Amino acid sequence: MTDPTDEDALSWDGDDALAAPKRPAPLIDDRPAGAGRASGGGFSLLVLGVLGGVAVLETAFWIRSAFDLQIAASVSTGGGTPVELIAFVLNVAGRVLAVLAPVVWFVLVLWRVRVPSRRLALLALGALLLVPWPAILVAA
Amino acid sequence: MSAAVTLGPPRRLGARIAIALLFLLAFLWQVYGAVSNLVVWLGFARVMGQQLTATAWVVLLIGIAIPVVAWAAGVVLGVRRSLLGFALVLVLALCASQALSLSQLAFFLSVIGAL
Repeated sequence: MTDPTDEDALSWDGDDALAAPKRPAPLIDDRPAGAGRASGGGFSLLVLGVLGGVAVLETAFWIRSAFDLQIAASVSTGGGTPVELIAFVLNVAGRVLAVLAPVVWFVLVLWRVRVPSRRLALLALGALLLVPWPAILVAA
Repeated sequence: MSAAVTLGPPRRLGARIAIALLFLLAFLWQVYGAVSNLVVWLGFARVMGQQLTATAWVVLLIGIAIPVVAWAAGVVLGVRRSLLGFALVLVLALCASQALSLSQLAFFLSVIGAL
């Protein structure tokens, strides 16, 4: 139990007069069933979990793709001249971005897109677009 | 309605242009790599006394198109958002472009022996 004098210390005289008038509770709840939360409910969460798992799997296969012999051979320091070293750093940075692409897509869409249907559509698009073809082609 | 009106104050517009140009450099580096790839394979085919097949041309040209389309899509989809949102859309476009370019390269390397 808190001491009522503690709460008094956080209020000012006249606060009650400034407060918005309280609305009476509605007698009938006319909201449609399942329209309560923006996340879209249990099915949406399930799909979200599946797509998150797909993003993690794709990232794992992209890591494998980046280390694939043929692809790795396209990143080299060459003769070691400054220009070649800059090119090497930029190419490695590109590989890192490619590896991070599925997770970055998932996190950004989850963070920035508010509409549940659009969010799921964009996550599905990302899962399709970022299939790690280099690893799949090597396995095939 | 002018772009300056729809996109906010001129300072914000300038920041958007700066962000778009900064990312353009990264996308242009990808274009440079794809064009280099095309030139190298053209030279290789010439040395071998052959010509690139239509499939090889299409795959190599797709490699050039990927970063161009990704940057344009990022600018179009992100320009109406906040500065942070605009930058994040371009980061996403760059990541996706890098992944798609690697896929294109892997596809080219895997099919080139059959061409």
